[in-house]
Amino acid sequence: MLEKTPFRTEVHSTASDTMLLVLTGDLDYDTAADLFTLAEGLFPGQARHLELDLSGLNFVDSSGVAALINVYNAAHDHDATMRIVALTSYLRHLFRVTALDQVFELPAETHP
Amino acid sequence: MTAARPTDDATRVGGESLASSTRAPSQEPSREPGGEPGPELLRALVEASGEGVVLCDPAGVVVMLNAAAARMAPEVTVGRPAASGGAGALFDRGCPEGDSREAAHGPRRLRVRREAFGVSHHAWYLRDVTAESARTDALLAERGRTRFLAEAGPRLSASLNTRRCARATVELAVPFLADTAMVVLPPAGRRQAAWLRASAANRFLEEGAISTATTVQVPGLAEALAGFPPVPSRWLDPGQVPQWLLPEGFGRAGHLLVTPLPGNGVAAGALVLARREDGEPFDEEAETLVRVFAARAGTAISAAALYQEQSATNAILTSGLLPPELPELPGVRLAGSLRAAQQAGLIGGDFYDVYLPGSHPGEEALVVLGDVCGKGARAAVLAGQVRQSLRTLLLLEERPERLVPLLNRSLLASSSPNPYVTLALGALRTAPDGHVRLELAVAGHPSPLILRRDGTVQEVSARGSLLGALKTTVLTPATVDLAPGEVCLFYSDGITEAFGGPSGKEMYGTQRLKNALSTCLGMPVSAVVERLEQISTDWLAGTTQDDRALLAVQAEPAR
Repeated sequence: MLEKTPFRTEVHSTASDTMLLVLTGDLDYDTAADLFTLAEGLFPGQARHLELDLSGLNFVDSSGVAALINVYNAAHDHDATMRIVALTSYLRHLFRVTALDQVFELPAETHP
Repeated sequence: MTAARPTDDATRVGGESLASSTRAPSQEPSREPGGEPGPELLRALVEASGEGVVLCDPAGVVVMLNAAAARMAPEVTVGRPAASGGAGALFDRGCPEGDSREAAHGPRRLRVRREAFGVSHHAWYLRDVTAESARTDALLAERGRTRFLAEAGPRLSASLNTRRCARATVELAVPFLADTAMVVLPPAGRRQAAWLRASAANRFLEEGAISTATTVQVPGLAEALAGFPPVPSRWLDPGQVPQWLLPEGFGRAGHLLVTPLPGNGVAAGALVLARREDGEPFDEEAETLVRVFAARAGTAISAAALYQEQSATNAILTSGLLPPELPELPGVRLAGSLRAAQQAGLIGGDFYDVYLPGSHPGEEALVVLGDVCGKGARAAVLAGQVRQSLRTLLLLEERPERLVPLLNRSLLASSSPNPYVTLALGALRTAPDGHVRLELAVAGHPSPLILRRDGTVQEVSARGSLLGALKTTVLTPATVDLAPGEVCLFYSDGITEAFGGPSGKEMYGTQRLKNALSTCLGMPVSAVVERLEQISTDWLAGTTQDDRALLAVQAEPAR
C-alpha cells in the first residue's frame, strides 16, 4: 500500500464502568503495539466493560489480530469483558476465518 | 628600511665622505626636527636593524656590515670579498637585483636580496628565516598527515571484509609511512596468523600465513598481537628482523615500527612497518601518525571481523529456516513458493513443510502451510519452532484435528511474545484409481482451494481458531478427495491481502485467486504455483508488504 491511513484511537467513558474504544485507520505490524500499550493502561482503572468500535478500521493484518487478542486476554486477566460493538464486513470475514467470531462477542449481523 | 630605496646620502654610510655632509655637523642631530640625520645616527640605525646588511664596493669587497649580518654569516669580514670563506652560495652576483631568494647557510636558512647603490656600491640584505621555514615545513608535513588520514578513512571503511580492510591498510601505508608494510591478523583457530604485505618496490600485494611461534621472531610483534601498547621504534632492533618479514630484494631493514591494530577488546592484528637503511628513522610525529592510522585500521578490521562472524552465524541460522526441498511422494506432485516481505533476508513468517511418512505401514505424509504473526527474523524463528514441533508431535499423533490442539498447547507454553500462528494442515493418503485423499485441519488460516478437473474452484469448508492465543481450539476438519490432475492449493493471506492492482490500493482478494486458479487447468503443478506467484507479484507491482506463500498438492495426472 502506497498510502496508509494513520491509526488513531479514541477513548470515551460511556458509563462509570464502561469504556468505549474507537479505532480507525490501519491496525497492522507498525501500529499493533500502540493498541496494546493503550489497552494495558485501561484495566488498572475502573473499567469493567470494554467496548470496541472497529467500524473505522481500514485494514487489519495478523499483527493487528494479535493485538486484538492481546486486548481480549488483558480484559480477561482483569475480570473485565470485551465486546465489539461495530465492525466492517471485511473484519467479520477475518474473524470468521480465524474462528475468532466464536471467541469475541460480535454485534448481530444485519442483512440490508 | 627595506621599503624605500636609500637616498644618495645613505650610500655613504660607513664611507670616508661622511664628514663632507653639506650641513654643519651637529652634536645632537636628533634635536633638529627638520634637519638631516648625521652619519652616526645613520650608522646606529643600520646597526639596530634586525635584517643583516652587507655593503660591498664594486669589486665585491665588504666595506661595512652590521651586527645582524655578522651573526648570520660570521665568516664575512670587512676588507675581504663577501663571496669568500664559504659564503659563495649566499652572495651570488648572478642573482637579479631586487629579487629575494633563500639559501641554506650552516644551520640557518637565510633570505638574501641584493640592491645596487649608485654605480659602484651594492648591498646584500639578509633575513634569518630558519624558524619561519621550519614552521612552514611542519605545517606542510601536518597537512600531508591530515590528507593521508582523510584519504585513509573512507578507504578503510569501504569494506566489511577483513582481508580487504587489511589490504587497504598496507596499501595506504606504502609509501607514505614506510617502504614496506605488513598487517598480521590475529591467529584464527589453527595457530596460523594470516598476513598481507605491500611494498613500494613491488606493485603486487603479497599474502601468506605464519605460525604463532614464528611471530616471536619479529621484535614487538607478539606483544602487538597481544594488544600491548606500541614501543618506540628506536627500541626495536631492525637487525633482528627475519628475512620472511621483508619482500624479496628489499635489503636490510634500517628502521622498524610495530603497532597493534586496536579492536574490540582484543587486538584486530598488528601493523609492521619497515624503512630501508638509507631511509629516515620513525620520529615522534611519524609514530603518533601511525598510532592514529592503526586505530582507524583496527576499527575497520574488527568491524569487518565482527560482521563476517555475524553473517556466518546468520547464514547457518537462516539455512535452517529456509523452505525445504519438496520430496517426491508416490502418486502426488508438490510445488511451493515462498516470498519474504523483507528484502534483507530470505526468511519471514510464512512457512511450509512436508513430512514424509515413517516406515510403518499406513502412516501418512503431512503437508503444512502457515503464517506466523510478525515479520522478519523473529517470525522466522517461531516458524522454525512450529515446523520442528510438528515434526516431534507427528511421532505421537498424525491426525490433523488432534495435532492442531497439541500444537496450540505447545505454542501457549512458548516463551516468545505473541506466538500467534495460523496454518492449514493436510494428511495425504493415496486412494484407489490414482486418487489422493486429504484430511484437512485449518487453524485461523485461509482455507485451501481445490481446482477440479472441470475447471471449477472450490473452497475447502474446514475452519478453526488461530493457534497460540486461546486456551481452547475450535476446529471443523474436512476431508477432500482429489481425482488425478486435481489440485489443492494452500496459500497465506499475503497473497489475498496484497494491495495493488490498477489503483494500487485494491486488495487482491480470494475471488481473484479463485479465478486465477481456474485458468491453471491442465498445467503441471510447478507451473500452477509459478503462474499464481507471477500474477500476485504483478498485482503488487513492485511493492512488497507481506510474506507470501503457496503450496500446491496435485494428484498425479493420468497418463
